[in-house]
Amino acid sequence: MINALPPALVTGIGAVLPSGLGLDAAWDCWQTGQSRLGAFSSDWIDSRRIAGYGAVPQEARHASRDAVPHKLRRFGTEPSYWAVHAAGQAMAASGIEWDALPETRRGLFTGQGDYTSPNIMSLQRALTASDQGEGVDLSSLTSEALYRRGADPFMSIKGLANNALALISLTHRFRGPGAAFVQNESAGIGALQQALLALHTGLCDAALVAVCGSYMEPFTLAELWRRGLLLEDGERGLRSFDRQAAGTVLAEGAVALLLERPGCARARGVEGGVLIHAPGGFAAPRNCLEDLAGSGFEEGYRQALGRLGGTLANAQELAVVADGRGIPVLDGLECRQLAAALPDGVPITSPRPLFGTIPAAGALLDVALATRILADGRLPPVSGLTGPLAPQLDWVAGAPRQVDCGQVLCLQQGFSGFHSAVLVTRHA
Amino acid sequence: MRRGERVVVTGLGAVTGLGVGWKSLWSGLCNGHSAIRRWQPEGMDDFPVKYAAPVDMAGLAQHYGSAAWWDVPMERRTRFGLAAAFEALADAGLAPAELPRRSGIAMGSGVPERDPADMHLALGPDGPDWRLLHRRADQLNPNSGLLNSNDHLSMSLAQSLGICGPSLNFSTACAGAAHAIGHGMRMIRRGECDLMIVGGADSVLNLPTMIGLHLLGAPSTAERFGDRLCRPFDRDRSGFVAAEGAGMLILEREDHAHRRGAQIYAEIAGFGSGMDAYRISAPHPEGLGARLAMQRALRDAQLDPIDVGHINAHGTSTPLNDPAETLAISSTFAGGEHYRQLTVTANKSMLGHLIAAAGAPECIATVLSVADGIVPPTLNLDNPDPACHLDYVPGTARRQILRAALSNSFGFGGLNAVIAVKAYD
Repeated sequence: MINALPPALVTGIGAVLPSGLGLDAAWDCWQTGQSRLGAFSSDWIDSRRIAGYGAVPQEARHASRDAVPHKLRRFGTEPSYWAVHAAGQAMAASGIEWDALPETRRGLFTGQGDYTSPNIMSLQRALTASDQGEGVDLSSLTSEALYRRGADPFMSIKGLANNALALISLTHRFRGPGAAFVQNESAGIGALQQALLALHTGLCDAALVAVCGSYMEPFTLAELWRRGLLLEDGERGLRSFDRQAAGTVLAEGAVALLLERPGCARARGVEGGVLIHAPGGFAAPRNCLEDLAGSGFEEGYRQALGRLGGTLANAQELAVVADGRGIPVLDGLECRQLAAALPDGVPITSPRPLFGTIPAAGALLDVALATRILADGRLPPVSGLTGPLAPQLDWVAGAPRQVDCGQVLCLQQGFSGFHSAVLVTRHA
Repeated sequence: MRRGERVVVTGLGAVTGLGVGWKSLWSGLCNGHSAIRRWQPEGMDDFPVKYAAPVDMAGLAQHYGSAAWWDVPMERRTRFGLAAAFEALADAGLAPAELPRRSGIAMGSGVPERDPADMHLALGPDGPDWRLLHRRADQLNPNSGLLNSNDHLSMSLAQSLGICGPSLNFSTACAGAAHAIGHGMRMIRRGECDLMIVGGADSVLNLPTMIGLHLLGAPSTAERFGDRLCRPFDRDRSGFVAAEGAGMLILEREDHAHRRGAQIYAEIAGFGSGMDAYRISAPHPEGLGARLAMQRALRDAQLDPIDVGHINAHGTSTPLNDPAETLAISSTFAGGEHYRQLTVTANKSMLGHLIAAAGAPECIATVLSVADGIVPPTLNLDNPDPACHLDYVPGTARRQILRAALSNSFGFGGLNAVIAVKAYD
C-alpha cells in the first residue's frame, strides 16, 4: 500500500514565461487566446526551418538578471536567473515573514530542462582559433580555452543541472533539505513530489519548488528539428489535439510554487487556496523520440491514475489540463489514453498552443494555471482546436467555459519517456 | 521502522577504474589498490591534468561485449550505468523478467558529453552554422549524439527492463547518486515501490568537460606524486583526481526481499540533505550544510550519533573540502567526543572522483564495510593536515564491527547528501 502523502497548500506562485513576469500575464493570455509564440530569433543560430519559438521577452530577461546578486551572475545561466526571479515572486506572494523562518526550515526542490551549457558557444572562440579546416587541433583548442580566454570559465558550473538550485539557495537563503532533478518535462513534478514528502515528514516548514528550462541550445534544436518534431509552417500554429497539427513549438521559462502544510498556513491566517496532491511520475517503456509509434502510455497513464484512483472526483467535478504538443503521433496516443482513462464528460483543455513546449517548467506551468482554473471557475480553451483528433472527448474549444469543478488533473508527457500526473484541488 | 518495512540492499553492481564488478571494487579498496594512472584526453599529450582514474573499456567489453545493448551508440556513462545495473540485478538474483511490477528507478547524472569534433562540424566562418551541421550530420559522433540528455541512463534502463514505474533523475553535481539512493529508499519506505534500482553513472574524462573543470581549478595538475596524487586529508593535497564509472544498488522492501529469499547486505536506514547557501564553488568553511545533512540522516535513521562507527567521507583531496568535512564530522559527533572513536575513510584516494556517480560506489563500500566488518584505508595520507584530525584509517584496511555507518557526498553549488547504513540483523 502507498502511504499517501497529505496534500500541500500553494501559498505563492511565481513565473517568468513567454508571456512575461508573473502568472497573471499567462492566465490573461490563455483566457483571451493570445499566443506568446513568436518567430524564432537567435544571435547564434540562423534558421528559417524553425517556424516559431516561445521566448522570454527582453524586459523579463533584464528583470531576472537584476534579481540575481551581481557576484553570482557569472556562475548562472539565463534559465537559472528566471528561476531566481520566479522564486522571489512566489516567496513574496506567500506572505511568509521570511526573517522569522529559519533558513534551515526552508526546503528547495528544483528542476531543469536538461542543459544549455556547455555548448558550442561556450567554446566558440577556442574552436574558431583551433580550426584546421578539416578538423580541430585539440592541443590548440585546449591552449586557446585555458590560456587565452577562449572558453567560458564557468561552463562546468553552468552545465550542472543544479545551477538553479545553487543560485536560489544563495540568493534567497535556503538551507533546508533540497534536491535537483533533470528528467525532461517532468523534472518539475519530481521536485514537487519530493517537496510534498519533505513537508509531510517535517523536514521543512516551507518548500519552494522552482523549475526552469530553455530549448535554446543549438544541437538540441538541430536534433529535434531533424527528427521532424518541430513545426515548420508558421502560419499553421501549434495545434494541440487537432487534425491539422504539424509539429510542436519549443519555448522557455520558469515557474515557482511555494508550498506549506495546510495547518501551518492556516495558523498564520491563510484561508482557502489550492491543494496539490501527491504527484506521480512514471517512465514509459519507449522513448518518444526514438519510437513515436508505441510509447507505452497505456501502462504509464494507468499507473499514474491508479495512484490517484481514490481521490479522483466524478466527471462533474473534474477538469483535465492535458499536454498536447501538436505532434500528431504523440497527440494521437495521448487522445487514446485520455479516452481510456477518464470518465465520460470530463472537460479537457491545454495551454500548449499559446506557450509552446517548455522544458521542465511546462508541467509546473500547467499546475500553476490549474490553481487559477479552480479560483476563477473558468476553463480556457485549447486555442486553435477546430478538428479534434478524438471528437468523442469533451474538448474546451473556442471560448472559455464556466466550470464548477473542484479538481484539476494535469497530465504531461516527456520527449524521452518521463510522464507525470498531478491532481490539484480546491481547499475548503 | 517496523520489521518487514525496512529498506534493504539486495544487489550490488559497479564499474570503476578498479575493474568491472563490485567484487573488483571491494577487493581493490580493501587491498589499497589505486585506479589512478597517467592519463590524457583522447588525441592529446599536453593537457595540463595528467592523472585520472579511467575505466578499462577493453575489460568492460570482455564482460558485456555480447550484451544486446553493447553495440548501441551511447555515451560512456550510459554504458557504465547499464553494465552496473545489470550486474546488480544479477547479484540480487533477479532476471529482468522477474522484476516486480512496482519497480522504479532513481539515478544521479552529471554534465553530458560533448565531442569537440561535433562542435567543429557546426562551425562556419561566421560562427555556428546549422546548415553546415545538417550537411555533415552523418559525420557526427554517434556515441555522443546531438541530444545526449541527462536522463538518458534512467530512460535506457527503464526501456531495457520494461519498468513503467516511477523514474527519477537527480542532477545535484557530486551528490547526485547519493540523492538518488536516498530518495529511492524513501519511495520504498513510503510504499510507492517494492524495488528500486538506484545509483549513478558519470564520465568527465572528455576534453570539453575537463577544460571546464580545469578552468575552475578543481582537478589537480600536480605531477610529483605520480599515481599517488589523490591525497585526501593530507597537507600536500592539491585538488581532486577525475574518474569515471558507475555504481548501482538494488533496494527492496524487507518483506519483499524475504519472500523471494534474497540475500541482504545491509539496511539503508536514513537519508539527509542540506544546503550550504555559502558559495557556488566552495563549501561552507565549517561544513554547515554537510553537518545539517548528517544530522538529518541520523534523525531519519533513528540513530544516535554514538551508534555510528564509521564514515565513508566525501574526501575529495581538495584544499577546501577536507578540513570543512572534518569540522562537520567533529561537530556532528561532538557529544562525548565521539568523533575520536570514528573511522573515516576516503575511497577517492583509490577511485578518484566519479563526480555525479561518486556517491554510488562509496555507498556500496559503506554497505560492504557494515556487512563484512572491514573499513578500507585512505591512501597517500603521509602527512596529515593539522586541520584534519580524525582517524582516517591511513594506508591499510582495518577490521571493525559496525552497527551503523554514514556515506557523505557533497556537491558543487553547496548541496550535500548523506546516507545512513545499518547492519542488517
